[in-house]
Amino acid sequence: MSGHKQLRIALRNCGVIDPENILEYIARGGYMALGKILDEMAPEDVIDELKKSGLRGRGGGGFPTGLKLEFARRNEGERKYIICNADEGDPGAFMDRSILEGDPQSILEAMAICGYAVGANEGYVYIRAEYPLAIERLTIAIRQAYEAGLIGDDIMGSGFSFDIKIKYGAGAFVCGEETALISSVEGNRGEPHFKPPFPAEKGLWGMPTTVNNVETLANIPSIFNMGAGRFAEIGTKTSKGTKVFALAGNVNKVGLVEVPMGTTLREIVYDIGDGIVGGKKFKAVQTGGPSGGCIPEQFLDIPIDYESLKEIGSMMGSGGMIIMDEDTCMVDIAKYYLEFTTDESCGKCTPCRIGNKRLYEILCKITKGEGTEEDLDSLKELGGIIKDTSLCGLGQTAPNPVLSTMKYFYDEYLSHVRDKKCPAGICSSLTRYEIIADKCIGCTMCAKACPTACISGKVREPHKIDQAKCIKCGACFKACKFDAILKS
Amino acid sequence: MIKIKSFNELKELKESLNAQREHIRIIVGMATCGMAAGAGEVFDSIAGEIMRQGLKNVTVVRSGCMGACHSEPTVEIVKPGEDPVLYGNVDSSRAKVIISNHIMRGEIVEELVLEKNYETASLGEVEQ
Repeated sequence: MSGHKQLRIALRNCGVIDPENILEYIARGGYMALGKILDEMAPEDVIDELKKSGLRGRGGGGFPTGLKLEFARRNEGERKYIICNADEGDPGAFMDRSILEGDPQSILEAMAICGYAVGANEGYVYIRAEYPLAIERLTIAIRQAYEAGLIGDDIMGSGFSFDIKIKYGAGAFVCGEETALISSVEGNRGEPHFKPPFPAEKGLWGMPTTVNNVETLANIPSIFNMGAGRFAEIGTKTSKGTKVFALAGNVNKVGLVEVPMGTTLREIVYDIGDGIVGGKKFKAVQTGGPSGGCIPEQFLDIPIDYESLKEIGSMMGSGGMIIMDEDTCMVDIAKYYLEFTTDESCGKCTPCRIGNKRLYEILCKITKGEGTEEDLDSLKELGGIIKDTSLCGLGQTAPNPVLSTMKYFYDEYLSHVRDKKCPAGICSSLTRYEIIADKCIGCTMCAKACPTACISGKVREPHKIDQAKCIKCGACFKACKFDAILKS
Repeated sequence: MIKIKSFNELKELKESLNAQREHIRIIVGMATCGMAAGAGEVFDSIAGEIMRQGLKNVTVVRSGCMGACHSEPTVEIVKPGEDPVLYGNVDSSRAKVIISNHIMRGEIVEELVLEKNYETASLGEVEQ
């Protein structure tokens, strides 16, 4: 029986209210923060309150939200914009989708608050077209909020007006990077550009722009309702409040969890996630998606926040958390993420476009059993260069999955290149299945399970695998009831 | 929907909405994850059963994700003055059992209950 480890602030209304009925949001205190702000607070006070709360960007970077708004407020512009970044693209992360599907009004309220703080009257929600249900509910939410006069002209008689539009993204990972996102909203290719100028100076249509992630925004109304002081009491010294994680992988209770910053990985994996599937051994947890890294068992007890995760070679990222058991090959995992980033690289800068491709090719070579120890050195060197020289966050963080797995699971890389073995038995080129003649009773189960019909033998006589035809699928290994098949 | 013209009107609306809340709420988790697991059928079956039984004081709510992806579809029963009860792995026939036992006779269907291991910060009130 696990205790109350979770605390829901960003997810406070998800699964509680009907997201298609604005009255349910209002009954739970919705738009009270905006009402109070417009009624009695100056824009500067709003920014001060957010600074006091210690809220930092939940999309990955962890930049202080109050400061971000202050920059945009200080910069002059004919118009200013607030953008909600709902381009959630990490494999395995779905917290932003859940918030938009479960509590879309909270995002609209927060965008209006940010608009008031910086002096912007227009906002865009940049959302990927692959989230049809979130888009549907968001569209309904915007319509209802307009009808209720809670966004639009002269909100609650305050004289402040704020419009919100939806902009669909085509689902490119790079568009999570704010400058690429802005290009995409403008109708151009989703390519990042050099910073400075930062969006707070020259963003959408060259105007001061603030881009905030969905989860960051979902926290904002709560901060004003509960008070910045109370919010800042939750969490660690540098990271305040809570973080939502999408718990996935080899864990019993996969799901969406929200915990105070400073909760340990052990609490998340074992108390909330109820441990590893099938009672297997924990091997690593991947955080930060393709930009993050794999964290080994020795760090299960560190309190997680932006800084502690960075120190151990990973990052908070948007909050994907993939639990891996002992049957996971870390080289294969690194290869999986690199395949993703090479696919998603926009191709604008050379280190990311070509460098990551080369990293991926070396990893392929290693998993095929053709790698050498020099390849391991190349991985490290090339990874470092890509990190230092790429244009945007995508390229700068793409080598992280390789570098962090090399740091903590070097032995596994060595087994692949030196002994030509995959200890987890995942890399099929390095795996071999054999039938132990002494143990085989000739039940024919393996031969029946084999999809390539490469197992021969008579009934009640030991069988044999034709190695030339074997595709190393492991079907015989699973079918054998007498432990007569040796996997090596 | 009436237009809210001042902060006071918003506060009044909130109060009047909360004063009306005497209904039993049956909340079905209907985010993408729940829908994929069959929450749509569960919702239809619950709504149909409420109609058939002629239950007047029950509201069936389509909500977002409750976070329990491991046990979708999920259904939560909120009776006024009682602790909410969260059920997991609900299908159409189990939904009917929940209605006849929990809603109509007040008996919790223990074998389907999921532990709710989170607190929601009480954030409804504006601090004065």
